[in-house]
Amino acid sequence: MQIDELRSGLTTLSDEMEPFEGDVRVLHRRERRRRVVTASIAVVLVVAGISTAAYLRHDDARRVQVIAPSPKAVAPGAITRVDVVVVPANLEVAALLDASPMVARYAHVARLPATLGALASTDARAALCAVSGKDGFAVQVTSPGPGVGGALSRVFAGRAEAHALRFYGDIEVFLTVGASRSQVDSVHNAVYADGDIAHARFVGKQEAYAIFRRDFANQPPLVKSTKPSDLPESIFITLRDGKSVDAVRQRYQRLAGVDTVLTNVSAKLIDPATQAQFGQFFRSACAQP
Amino acid sequence: MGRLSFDEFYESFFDRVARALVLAGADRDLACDATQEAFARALRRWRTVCDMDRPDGWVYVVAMNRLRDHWRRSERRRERTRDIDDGIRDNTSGVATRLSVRDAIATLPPRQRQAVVLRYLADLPLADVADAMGCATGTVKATLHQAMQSMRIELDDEEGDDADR
Repeated sequence: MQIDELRSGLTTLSDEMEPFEGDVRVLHRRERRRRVVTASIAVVLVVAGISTAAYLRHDDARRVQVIAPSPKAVAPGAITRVDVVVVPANLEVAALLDASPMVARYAHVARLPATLGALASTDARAALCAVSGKDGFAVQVTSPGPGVGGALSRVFAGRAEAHALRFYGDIEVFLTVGASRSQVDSVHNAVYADGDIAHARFVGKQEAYAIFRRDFANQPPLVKSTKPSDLPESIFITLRDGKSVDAVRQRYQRLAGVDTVLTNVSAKLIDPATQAQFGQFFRSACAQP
Repeated sequence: MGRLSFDEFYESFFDRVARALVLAGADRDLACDATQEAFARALRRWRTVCDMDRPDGWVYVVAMNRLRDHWRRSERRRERTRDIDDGIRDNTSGVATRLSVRDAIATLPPRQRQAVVLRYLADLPLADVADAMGCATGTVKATLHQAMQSMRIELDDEEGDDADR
């Protein structure tokens, strides 16, 4: 009853209203316009998407170049000597390296090897071991020598840390353990007279023994069974920039009293292709004694 | 029977849906816009809508949803109550029942008003009303029950007044 009354009341109220004049043509026109607009927006979005993707890919390429943005940035294999390790590796630090006249070239190393610790001086070893596994730059400077790590640190002004490796040079000439005094002298003289050599450091048996003890501190039986006289003397050689490591190596390899000529030891540690060769030897570098 | 063409559907139902919206509390402009928008959506998916049992039910639901969205945005409840008078231009000639129904509806809260219009004017099944109101059918039943109760009271009062006169 009530509901019927309500229904009829509602219907009457509805019928009494002024009619609404909807225009279906307006609706069709509006829908057509909407479809055109939607399609245009879709086209714009697709174009924007494609250009964004292209831009990002381009940006990606640039990001790879961040590691090689200038002629100074090279692949790890192209570094002949690591003088300083710099952490972290980022665009800002790369720009500072590019700008510094102290830097000859540098390589991005995704994971700094722990074996680099073996090439650190006693003071810097802990710091160098601490950055192992991190993303860093291996830097080859124009004129290696003591104080180069501190000089680079000043360039970074707190934006990166620089750890100098112990000065190994480009070439290490190992004399035979039993080399005679005259043989040793003639090799030394050849080095002094060599115009390709910028710098040389002579390591006697006592210093070799000190290095040996330190590098193998975690293998006491080995250290105990070795005397200074069992170790060879050696010469660390740094070449003038641009001189051929191979040519010099061959020249010294031929001399009497020379046992082995190692080249680019520090560089081989950061180059994945040659890492294993020396990594084996320096494995214990960062181990606790 | 051939398929209902959209244009035919529009011509038969546009006016009815818009009127229902006015009774639910919209002003004429809002009712017109919401109805037009609901039909626009129906046009976009006409193949689906025209196969429904009650294509007009779908449009009622969508239009009523538009109304609710609009109200939620504007939050102008008072105007809504007044609009029902603006919407009904011809309010001079009237029988007691019609006036009673109009006044009774005007006193209902918006949700009850929508439920009543959808159920008893548009004659939608409870499920569609629930769709339009964004709630369960049980809630619609309860809402309608409350509406009927309060309207009955109002109607009784009106009748009582009429009897006194």
